[in-house]
Amino acid sequence: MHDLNFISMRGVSKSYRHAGKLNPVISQVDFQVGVGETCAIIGPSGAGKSTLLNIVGLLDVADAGEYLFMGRSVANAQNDELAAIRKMQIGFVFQNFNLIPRLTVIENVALPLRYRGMDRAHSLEHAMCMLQRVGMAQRAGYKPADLSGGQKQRVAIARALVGEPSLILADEPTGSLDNQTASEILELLLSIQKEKNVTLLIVTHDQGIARLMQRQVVVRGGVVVELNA
Amino acid sequence: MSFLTRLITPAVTQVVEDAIDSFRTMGKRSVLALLGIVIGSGSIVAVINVGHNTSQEAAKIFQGMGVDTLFAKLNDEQRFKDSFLGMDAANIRGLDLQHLMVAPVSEVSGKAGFNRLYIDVRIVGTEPALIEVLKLSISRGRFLHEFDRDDNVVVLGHTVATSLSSNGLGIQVGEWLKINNYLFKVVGILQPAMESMLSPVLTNHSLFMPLQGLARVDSGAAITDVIMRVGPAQKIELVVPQVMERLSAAFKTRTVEIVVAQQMIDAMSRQNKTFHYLLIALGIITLVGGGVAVMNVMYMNVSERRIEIGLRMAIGARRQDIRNLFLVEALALSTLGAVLGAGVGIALAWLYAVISGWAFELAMLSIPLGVSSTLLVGVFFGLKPAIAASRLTPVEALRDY
Repeated sequence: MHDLNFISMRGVSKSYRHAGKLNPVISQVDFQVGVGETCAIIGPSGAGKSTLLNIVGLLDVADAGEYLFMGRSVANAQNDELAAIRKMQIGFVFQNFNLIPRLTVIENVALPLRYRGMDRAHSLEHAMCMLQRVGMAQRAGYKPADLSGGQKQRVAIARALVGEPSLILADEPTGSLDNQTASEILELLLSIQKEKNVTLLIVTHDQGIARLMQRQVVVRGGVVVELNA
Repeated sequence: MSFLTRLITPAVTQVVEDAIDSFRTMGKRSVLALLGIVIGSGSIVAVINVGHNTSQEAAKIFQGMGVDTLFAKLNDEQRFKDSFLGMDAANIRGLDLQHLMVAPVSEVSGKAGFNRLYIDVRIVGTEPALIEVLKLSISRGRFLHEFDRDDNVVVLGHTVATSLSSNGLGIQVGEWLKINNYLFKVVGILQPAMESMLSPVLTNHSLFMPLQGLARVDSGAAITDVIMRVGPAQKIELVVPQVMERLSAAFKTRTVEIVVAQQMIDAMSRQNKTFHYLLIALGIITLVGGGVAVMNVMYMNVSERRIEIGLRMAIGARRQDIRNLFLVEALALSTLGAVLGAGVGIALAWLYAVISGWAFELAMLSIPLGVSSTLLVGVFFGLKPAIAASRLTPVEALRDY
């Protein structure tokens, strides 16, 4: 049984203003995740999956409700505090990889460490270890433009994990990849998750991927429902 | 969990490395902004140097004239028909201008002949005090003396002496010179003198003789100018009214006009200052144009790198980290522009000096002034896009449009 206090949301709502009108995206969401748990967030497009993930990842703040991250309320946290939590505790994997095109593969991976104040040499050393783990050490000096989609996502996974975060948030990590590559990437992600015992939340359309996670929650009409509760 | 982690900041070197790296890859747009900055910075440096060298050149014109000299012109609408040299000289001697060195000057054109060579010269009738008043230096022999008053003696300006020596026989002190059918004995030759714009006497092209000698050469000659030098303890501006009053009283039929070197120098430097301000204003306008170019480039840069901003925020960059990233980039652009501009400015000012036939002298303040004003402009115009970037929320920045 996992400790469900790692992420704990109660009555969380979020609306966006569009053309002067307030559109609720998620409402009254109760959602808990434990340490080391893997959880898939599934649901149709526009259901609010990414919004939920953004709030979990402190990229966005809820309009209402209570959100405890590692037992601490983040409702009134300042921007710098949120940035510090993201820096130390959370790793992101995006559908579009979001690698910085100017930087080499190894520099992209080392970037989170530079924001932690680590010097260049040490951060590159750590980044190289992580690239070895994801099988991309040979491409360390390449620019992202010279990589395939699968390779880019491996680099993005290395970047998400290099700082040894306690939570990995992946928004459609295989959405831009073919089936073969997608299953390789997922395999990699899960193996590292197990190895480091990090909590993994994946937003996906793919039921097959969702079934590989310990838990599946469905976001539909802005409400979160546990699938196999 | 410890919230002290927020105190951990990115390494300064990373901010600088990031800035230089992205600046390197900004491409053609950054070259255009750079061009604006280079032109602006270059203008400032160039105008300061051109202004400095103009002042130097202007100062050279007045050099040697001395700020203690005043020149009085005795104009006569009657073309001096009632004037007699001897009477004029007596008038001047009777002026009673204490502590003032006074030299009357009467000048006519004529021909001087030596060894069958005749040249056109300016013949200056004067008194011995002229050597002190104009600070002339003797090359050979001596200048005029009180006891020369009734003698036919002459002192040659440097160019006159050289011209009279051009047929191979160098003219020497003691030789006789034929001037308007009178023979004059050369008693001295002057060293080359710096010609002053204000002085009525062109020293190098003149020959100097006592007033009585000139009266023999040209019976119609009159005193046309009086050159005076004040003593070290006297203030020239206090002397001028007294001189004006006495000269006007002594020469009732003439109009007296007094020119003071210091007044000319002051007027010149006022004019120079205005010129300076004008040029600096032009430089500032260009620099602001460059600054606007920097702002445009930085705005485009922020817009193109929106996703990158979101990503950096997602991995822990704070708002000030994002602001600093773009600010340092603007600063890097401005620094490069300022340094290149300083080089271009110096080169242009040098070219201007060469074309004008001046000796180029670097205005030391031009480089720090040019570079620092450019950096200020860069920071000022780079700040707004940098703040705009830092105000994006991570979600806004990462959104796919």
